[in-house]
Amino acid sequence: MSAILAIESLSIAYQTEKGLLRAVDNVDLRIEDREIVCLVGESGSGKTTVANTILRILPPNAIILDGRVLFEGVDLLNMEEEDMSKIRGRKINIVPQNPSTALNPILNIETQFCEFLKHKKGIRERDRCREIAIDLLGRVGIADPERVLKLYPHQLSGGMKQRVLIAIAISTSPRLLVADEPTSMLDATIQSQILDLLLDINRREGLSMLLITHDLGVAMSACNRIYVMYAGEIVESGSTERVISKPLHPYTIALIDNAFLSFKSQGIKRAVSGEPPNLIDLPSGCRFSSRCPMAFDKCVKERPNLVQRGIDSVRCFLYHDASA
Amino acid sequence: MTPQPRKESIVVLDNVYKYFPAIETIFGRSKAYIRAVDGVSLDIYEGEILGLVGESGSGKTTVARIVAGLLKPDSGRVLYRGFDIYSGKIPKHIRRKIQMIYQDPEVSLDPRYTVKQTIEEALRAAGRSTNETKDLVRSLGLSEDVLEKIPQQLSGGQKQRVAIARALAMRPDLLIADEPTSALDVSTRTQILNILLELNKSFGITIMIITHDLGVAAYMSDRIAVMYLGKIVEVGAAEEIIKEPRHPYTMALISSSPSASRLSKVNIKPIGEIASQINIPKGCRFHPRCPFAMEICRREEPPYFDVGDGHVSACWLHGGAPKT
Repeated sequence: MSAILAIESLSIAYQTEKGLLRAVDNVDLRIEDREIVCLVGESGSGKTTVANTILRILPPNAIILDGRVLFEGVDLLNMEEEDMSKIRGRKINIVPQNPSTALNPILNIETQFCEFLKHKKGIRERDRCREIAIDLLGRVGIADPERVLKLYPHQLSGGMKQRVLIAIAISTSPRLLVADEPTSMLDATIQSQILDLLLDINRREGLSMLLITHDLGVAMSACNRIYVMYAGEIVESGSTERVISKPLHPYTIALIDNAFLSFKSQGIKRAVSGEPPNLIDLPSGCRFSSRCPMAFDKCVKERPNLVQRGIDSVRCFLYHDASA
Repeated sequence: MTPQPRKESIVVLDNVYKYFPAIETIFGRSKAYIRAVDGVSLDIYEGEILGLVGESGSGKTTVARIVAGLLKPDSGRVLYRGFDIYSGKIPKHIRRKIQMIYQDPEVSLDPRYTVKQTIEEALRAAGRSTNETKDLVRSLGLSEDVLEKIPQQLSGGQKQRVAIARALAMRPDLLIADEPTSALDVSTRTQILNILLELNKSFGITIMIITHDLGVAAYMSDRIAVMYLGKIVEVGAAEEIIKEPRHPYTMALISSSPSASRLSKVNIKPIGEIASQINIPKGCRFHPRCPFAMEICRREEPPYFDVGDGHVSACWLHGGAPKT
């Protein structure tokens, strides 16, 4: 299989008043053709920085320290902005977290759709544009596309707005869709509908997807493979089934244990103590060591490497001997 | 069989309504109303943890504020230990006994006050000695060095602990927690949930937890009440509600939640989206989304049917004699 996207040893930092904040550190990530890959992590783990790097929409204080982002074999980080703008919004599209801020409140859906098609596909005729829009809105499960085209964003629910944005995103037949927490602003019953739609689109349109989420439940129901991020690093990756049923890294184990709660009668779950490390002043050892119930001497002193075994990888000294 | 000891109610909601004006004319008269709470009767038993579950717009936060004594209902009664709290000005000793914590802990923390000042102020208001500040802060797993910090310098989990400490200073016997962990990461979430479980177990504090997350409700609650568009549609023992839900909306909610569906066998997907709280559907308010809707559901609002052992559901599918 050929990778649509291959991120290689990517490191990104932000310049802040207090010093250099190491948001992403030595990250490797691959997305194969037609694959849905999840990047799971808690706030501050660096997952959104990875997404923004792929789209090259990092804020001005971001510094790319190292690494490559190969999209269909070409390094996006070395590309002129002019060439990048031919990929962004065409071959790589985004599904945003907050559908309300992603649409312009003073333009109706038809106008926004046509603006996008004019800009990205050079379609200028209003009738042609309307035709395409109606077809696409139908494909994302909107029952009455003609009516929806006349509406303004405030007249649509969050779920409907997200459907409209997905329709716009697939209008250019992209190869890769980057969805950053696409359902976290939506209610539970709507969330599962949007996830089903994304899965459906992945199958029908034959595109690959990077789904960024803090929610292991979302990852479990949507993805082929999972990468788990903690404090800027990938700590584990593997098939969704393997990661959920047999997690290796103590952080993943804790995350799954805490994400899937049981009944009160089953007793109290052990919580992970403490908080993630400060990314400006990182510990010299393993970044999870201060919270890890299995940590030993070495974990505090040295940084573990990512050990690769087939499609599985884990960054933890507990597994270093087995691979040697 | 030995007779079950009668459960004492700490709070009784008796047919409570609360509407908010939606569109006001220039004369200040409203033409349409948001029917936030549309006839709710509910008991909170002494010493229990009651989970109030619903999506946005279900009215669960309005119920929380009414129980907390913060919002006078349009009609209906709210009894705290038999005393109608809205019959006049709420006496101070009662107001102290009912404390609330919020999704965003900053709501209850003054941004200019240090943690020490916040806690000392609360202790003084409750007529307690400020010498207890350190003990209170330590009992919530916070280190003493947070005492001199202001909210801005604290993490989300620390802020929520301070908000809980502030509430505990009043020696409450009822704690209303409105989405206390939905702004937190999973690893911190369990820490906060465990604190609440401990308060319930060790000090017998009754807790009503408002959440959109059925996984959290299962983990915390003795009983769960499910709200949809201003009405409670189902109430019962937590494990029963999740494992054997009787109302189609509860089934849909469980099926939509990856974490709750692991605890249950039901799997039905709701159709469409939540209706507006202004134009609540006639008959059963869930019927337009219900895969089992019958003719009667479109015409008549279902009464509550007792489906066994205090488990109550408002659905025509149950037939038989309604609970009076």
